[in-house]
Amino acid sequence: MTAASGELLVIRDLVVERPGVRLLDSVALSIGKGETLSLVGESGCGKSLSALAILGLLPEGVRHARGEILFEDEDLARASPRRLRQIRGKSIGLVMQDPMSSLDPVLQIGAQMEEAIRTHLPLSARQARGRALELLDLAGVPEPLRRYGQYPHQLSGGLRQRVSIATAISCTPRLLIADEPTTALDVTTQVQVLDLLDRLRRELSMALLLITHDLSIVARRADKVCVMYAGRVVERAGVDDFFAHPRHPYSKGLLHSSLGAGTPLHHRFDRLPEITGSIASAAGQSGCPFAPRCDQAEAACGKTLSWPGTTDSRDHFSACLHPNPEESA
Amino acid sequence: MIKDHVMKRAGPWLRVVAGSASFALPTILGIVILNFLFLQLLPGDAVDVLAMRSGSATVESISALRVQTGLDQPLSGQLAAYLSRLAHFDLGVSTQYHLPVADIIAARLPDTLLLVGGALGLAVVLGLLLGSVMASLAGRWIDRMLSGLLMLIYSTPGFWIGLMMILLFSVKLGLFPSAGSATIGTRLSGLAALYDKAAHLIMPMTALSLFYTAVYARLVRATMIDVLRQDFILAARAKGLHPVTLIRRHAIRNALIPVVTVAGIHLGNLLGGAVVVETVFGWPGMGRLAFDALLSRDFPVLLGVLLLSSILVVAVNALADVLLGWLDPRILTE
Ligand SMILES: Nc1ncnc2c1ncn2[C@@H]1O[C@H](COP(=O)(O)OP(=O)(O)OP(=O)(O)O)[C@@H](O)[C@H]1O
Ligand SMILES: [Mg+2]
Repeated sequence: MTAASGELLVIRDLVVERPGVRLLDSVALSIGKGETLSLVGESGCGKSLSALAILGLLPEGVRHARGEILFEDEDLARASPRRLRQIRGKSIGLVMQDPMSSLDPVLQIGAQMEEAIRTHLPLSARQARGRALELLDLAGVPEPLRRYGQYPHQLSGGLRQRVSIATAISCTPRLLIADEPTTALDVTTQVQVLDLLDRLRRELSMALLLITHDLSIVARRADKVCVMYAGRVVERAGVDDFFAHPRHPYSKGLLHSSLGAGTPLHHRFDRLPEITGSIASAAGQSGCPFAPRCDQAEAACGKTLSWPGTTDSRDHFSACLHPNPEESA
Repeated sequence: MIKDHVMKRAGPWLRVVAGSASFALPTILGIVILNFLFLQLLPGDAVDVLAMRSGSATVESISALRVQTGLDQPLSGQLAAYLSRLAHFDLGVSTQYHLPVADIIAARLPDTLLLVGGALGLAVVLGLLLGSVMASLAGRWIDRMLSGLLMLIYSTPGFWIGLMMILLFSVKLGLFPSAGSATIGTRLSGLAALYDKAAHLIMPMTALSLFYTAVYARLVRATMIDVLRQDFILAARAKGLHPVTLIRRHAIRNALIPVVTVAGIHLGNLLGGAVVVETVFGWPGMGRLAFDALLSRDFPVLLGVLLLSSILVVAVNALADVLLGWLDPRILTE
């Protein structure tokens, strides 16, 4: 894949390991300025790990083994801890899945927001407070002044997620990573939070890496989609193209089983045969990781060493060995 | 707005304090009565001891003494008399020194508070520091070395540590005085007096606090390792915070909650442990006073010390409750 200049984030051949286990294998993706890229895939396929790798926040015992993470042409995989701290919260913001646990229970909302603001912006305490109130308002938190002095347990889940979002955008980042930002919320709140993310992305002209289980969210909110399976990117395409002509059998399975919209992705694979071992243990082995579950698998699928995949004329990537992408699902 | 905020928080705080206070009186009364009754189980009374010490007592002089001290009265009468005196804030008179118990205790109280408070404070601060270092370097050699050291302290009796400290720092190195709470026969003032006090205090305070330092360090280490795994820590790191800021702002405050909870409870143990340490270091505190009073069957003094100790424990626990409410806002609003 070639990185068109003007891309905000380009990940090439990213490999992340823990001793003996390859967790991410040759992950590649790119996000343009102001664009929304959706990362989908079932539980444990490495979506969160990819997000954390970008921020240089891989868990203890998990290390970056190979590959580039180019953010505005700077390789974050090789950046110093100090440089990474400058980028985190300033140029790249993170919103996590569970708003119940992503705020410190013993600190006031305002204090937690100002912490991010004053780390990166040269503001006085007074100015930082003003900025925090402004951000709460921008994130649609009613009565900012009251919420500012409250503690996380005094807020509902939806409000807490708004606070997390307000904090993540406090230094107007160029990229916002939202890791399943609505999974822990009820349905009406989900829509509101997604609307908020969409609006902020446009108003602040930032790019959005939206990790989700839910293809209906992808269809409505994303410009591009990246499907992961067992630590690899198996399909990458523009959203319209993806829904019209899915190429990889796994993606087809996903789309097929999500016709009855509403249920999240990870509940939809019950019908497919269980593969032995976790899907992470399949990563890094030779052959297509999806082969054991694939109904189109041939003898070659299990043997071929790291099949590079094909990219068609519409820049639509599929890691499948099958030459004919238009085969029916 | 800030004043508003303070008022809002003061409500629940008052509730916490009032809650502690409403428990305190009945608790303390119960403790006094129990102490009184338990002491009666000891063989002999103050008059026996006085008679034994004088060596020339007659049966007549002994019974005269009993009448004079009220020890001839039936138990219920003695208890009622003691309680009614207590109700008038009168702790009685020492059978040994013939001085008001309140005066005797008042003379000892500051030194004891200094020793016990200093030891508890030192244990909390040091425990927090060591625990934080261990948690942030968990599994590395510094963590393992400190863990081993703490285990050693944990399993060594305080009096033995005290004796070894005297041997090393007083006898061999001559750094600190080995006994007392001030240099006798000098009339120091100002800074010199403060320095003299500190030099005397440092060893008994350290000896008394080491065990608790080890307890808190282990507690902080375990809690902080748990806290550091929480999502909000990752969220804070994603804001670009420096690791030290992370520990200071998020980890310590969360890890302090269980420490304050147990530290309130530990004050009672510390007052008990002070008896031994005060004896080893010749520190003139309430612990040694109580021990001497016990040997002399000087019950008014002993009961006075016990009463004051229980008041101290109750007060410190109320303080711990307030502190907990400040550390963990979830407690106040629930
Ligand atoms: N701290 C860790 N130590 C070791 N392995 C880890 C750690 N965190 C994640 N992994 C492994 O990395 C793999 C990918 O995990 P990741 O959290 O990225 O999945 P995910 O796609 O985000 O799943 P979900 O949808 O459940 O959030 C998993 O198989 C998991 O076993
Ligand atoms: Mg995840």
